[in-house]
Amino acid sequence: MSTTAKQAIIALPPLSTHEKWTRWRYRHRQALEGWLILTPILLYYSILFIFPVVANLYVSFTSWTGVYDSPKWVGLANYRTYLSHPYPLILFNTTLFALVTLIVQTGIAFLIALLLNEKVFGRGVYRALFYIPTLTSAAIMAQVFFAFISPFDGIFNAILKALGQPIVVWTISTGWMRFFIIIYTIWRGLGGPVILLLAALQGIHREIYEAAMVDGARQWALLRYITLPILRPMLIFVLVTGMIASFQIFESVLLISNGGPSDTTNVMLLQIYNDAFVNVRLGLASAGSIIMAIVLLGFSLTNMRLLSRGQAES
Amino acid sequence: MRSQNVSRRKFLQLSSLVITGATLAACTPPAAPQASGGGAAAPAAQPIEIIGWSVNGMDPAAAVNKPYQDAINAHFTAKYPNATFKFMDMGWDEKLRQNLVTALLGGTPPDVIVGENYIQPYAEQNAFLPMDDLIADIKSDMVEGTYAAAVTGGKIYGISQFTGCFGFERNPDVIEKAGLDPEKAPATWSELLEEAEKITTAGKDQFYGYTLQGPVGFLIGGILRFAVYSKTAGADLDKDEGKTPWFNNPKSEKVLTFLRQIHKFTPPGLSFNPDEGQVYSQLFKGVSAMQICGSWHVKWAKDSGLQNAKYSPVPIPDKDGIPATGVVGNVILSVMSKTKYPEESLYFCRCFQEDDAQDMASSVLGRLPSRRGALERLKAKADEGNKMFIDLLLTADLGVLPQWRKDPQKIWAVYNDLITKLLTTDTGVTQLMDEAQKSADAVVAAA
Repeated sequence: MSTTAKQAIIALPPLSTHEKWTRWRYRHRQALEGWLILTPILLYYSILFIFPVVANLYVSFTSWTGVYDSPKWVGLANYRTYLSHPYPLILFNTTLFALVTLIVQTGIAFLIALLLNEKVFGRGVYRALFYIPTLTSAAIMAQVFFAFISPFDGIFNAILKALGQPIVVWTISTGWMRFFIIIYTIWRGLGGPVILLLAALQGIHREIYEAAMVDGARQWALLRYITLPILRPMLIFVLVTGMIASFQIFESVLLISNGGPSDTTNVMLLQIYNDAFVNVRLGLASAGSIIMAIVLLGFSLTNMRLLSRGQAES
Repeated sequence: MRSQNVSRRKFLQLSSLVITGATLAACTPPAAPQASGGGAAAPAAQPIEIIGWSVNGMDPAAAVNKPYQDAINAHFTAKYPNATFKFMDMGWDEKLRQNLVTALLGGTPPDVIVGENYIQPYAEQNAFLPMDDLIADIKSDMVEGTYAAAVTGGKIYGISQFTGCFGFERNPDVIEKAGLDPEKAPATWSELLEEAEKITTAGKDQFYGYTLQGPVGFLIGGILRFAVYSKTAGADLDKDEGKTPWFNNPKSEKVLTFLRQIHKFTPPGLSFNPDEGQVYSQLFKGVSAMQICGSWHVKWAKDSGLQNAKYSPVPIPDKDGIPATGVVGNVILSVMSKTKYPEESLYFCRCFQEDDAQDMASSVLGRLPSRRGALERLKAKADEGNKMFIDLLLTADLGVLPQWRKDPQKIWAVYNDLITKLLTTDTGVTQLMDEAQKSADAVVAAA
């Protein structure tokens, strides 16, 4: 730029605020419109997601009853509580229920989906039957389930009596109650994965199988080299969502064992609920939910990484 | 007609205006009703609405309770013609507390709320208004045990709408089958144990001497009944008004020993059934002969087909036993301290203490009144079963469960654990008590 031109620019009169604003608006018109369009969803997301998470994180470092007091900062005290009884047992129970339920439920769901994918008579009825427990109220299903395990006049004890065996008081047996909770949870939640896996199976073209069969592939090879690789994205989805749902086990424990005997079937969500609304310790309950979120994140990431690594290898 | 195009920019500007306006309108609280009582008094013409959560018998949908509702509303509007009461069903016990905590966090608590076993800790956090002045003129007529659960720091934070208490129930048909006199009620623990054993032996796995509701999870239905036996033995479960659990109280040893003994004469498996209704209905079906019962059992037994059930006071220890029982089904009304209408809300609670409302607690709601005068009036026309419960309310030492100030769920879980081990192992009673005390102390220390 020549000296004359520089002098000409310097000689220009300064812009008024209105002119500056107009120029700035013109230069950023696209960004402004973009933000304007995004504003409703950003507000919605901030109010309903970001704010609660941040508030929950803050409350987890405080002692607060929520009645008419203010949160008092206690640092990591609530998190340290999770190192003392009964919390390690509760974390163990939750992990045990989640992993066993997830593995067994997904395995059974896969087998059922394979069977339902075959052309069998009354296939629609079978599909509905597997989905009915998922659709029915948890409380009603728990009543049905309890008719079997009631220690006084349950069906299982009636069978034992008929066989001349002593009855078992299931409700005070840690092993049995854990077993029943897992069975109930699998039974209740089986419908969802079955439908998802069945939908994925029906998306596999028969020509692929036929081509493989022409090449001499047998049933096991078809499953190993065609079905499973194609199903992998759906399996990842089922496993990750199943993992999150399994860790959030609540109603089955509440309705069947109420955490007993001696906290041996108590789980994180039930304890978070009790800490918040019965023990009125909102700080401790918030710390529990943060711990749950971290555990879930860890398991979900590991799960996704393992499965995507397998996908890359295959 | 000329069409007018709206530019994209114009459209966005208009849209943002509409969205902002709608958002502001949605976020603006409704016009607050004019304050009264604690603030400036409401003008007589200004209508106000008192919101009450889960107030029993006041749900307008229950037409059968209309005479009761009319009586309460008549008393209320006689003093506050501009006021109306709005009932909201917010559940009971855990669900009610969950709703209350949520409402407190959101700054939307009701004016009046009912409770049974959480008043003290909330009152200590200034959640409720004291009612001492409100009931000063009728306090001597109110059964003390019915509001004991709402007393803390020497002040009363709730008054009973209606009440009930525990007694002892027998199925005379089962007792007779065992060759025993159905008219003679066991008065002491040793008499009870002896009868229960004889009935169980005679029953040969068809019927049993006693029903005992044991612990399941964190449920406290069983604990309520054990507490009655503890009361008759003078064995408190707490020190300092619920601040410190006292599970190794030396006086508790004989209570726990008695529970372990009587459990041998119960139907197998029944004690650990979580369905309370199923547990206690076994007596009506002739499976069990005796049990602790609430005052509502008189009607329940008849409705279940047992017309001749017998009722008597709860048996007491042979030595140093105290004729005592515990209140149950005792509904307490409290006023939230943040109410906009303190005077009106307090007076609304007071309306339930009027004679006609107290009388209708029995005739309309099927429950027992909380005032001595109403109990005396009811006694004159009550049947034998109800008379027994009225006498207990008028004369017995009435206990209430401790309201733990810290981690109540965990402390009751410790006690339930103690009872589970008591009934299912042979571990020494004092050892179990000491272990439970240690666990309870740890819970309190951690909180």
